[in-house]
Amino acid sequence: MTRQKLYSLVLVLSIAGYLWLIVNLFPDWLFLHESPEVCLIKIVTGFPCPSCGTTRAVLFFSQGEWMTSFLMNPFGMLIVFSLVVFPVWILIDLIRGTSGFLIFYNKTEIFFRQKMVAILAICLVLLNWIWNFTKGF
Amino acid sequence: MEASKVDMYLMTAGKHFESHQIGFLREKLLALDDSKFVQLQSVSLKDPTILLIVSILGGQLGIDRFLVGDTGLGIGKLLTCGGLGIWALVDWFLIMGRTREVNFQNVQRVLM
Repeated sequence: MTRQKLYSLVLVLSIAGYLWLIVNLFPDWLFLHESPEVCLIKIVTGFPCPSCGTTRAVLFFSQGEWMTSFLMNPFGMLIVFSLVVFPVWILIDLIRGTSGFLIFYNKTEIFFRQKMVAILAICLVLLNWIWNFTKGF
Repeated sequence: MEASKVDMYLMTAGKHFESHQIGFLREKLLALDDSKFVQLQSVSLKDPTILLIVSILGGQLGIDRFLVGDTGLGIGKLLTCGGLGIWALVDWFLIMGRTREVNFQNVQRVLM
């Protein structure tokens, strides 16, 4: 992954994320009565995916209800962190001409490729998925 | 390496690479030392068709990206519900090309 490719991808994803939050905060603007359903797994099978509820979790977090946000979906916190930190980090990198975020990205990839870490992460995601089932989305 | 050996390798492994890379690969393989043939054959190549199937079935969870080795992007896809479904959909069309690219990079490591 090259620096330019990664930075543009993350910036586009961040902008899309903020746009998605705006759509969910003000659905009336798009003449929607409720927030739209986009999860392919949920549409096709009717069952939630591991990250279903993340949007609601982020919205709860932004209103200061951190516990509700965590109970809705712990992924929400990760998304909030990414949406706040990554674009700023990238902009600082671009202004200064450094590659701090790229190094962080590569180190994260290497970290998650370790067998034990990968197994633990997969177990956590599966547990979160099972938890999502019990929440009855 | 002998031309017949190279052609046989390219015939069996050709579908794992982009068509425009085949000519370059053939040239490099012909110039390659015979002793590296075993090493070359032991390079694990991922089948683009399999990756496409995985992408269609498990793209929403980023499994295709994890398989191809893009762990960071896989995590991104997993956390964002396949990029709101859009990224997962776009990847149906990108993943085969990306698989061939990764295969080419892996083989290049032996060639260099």
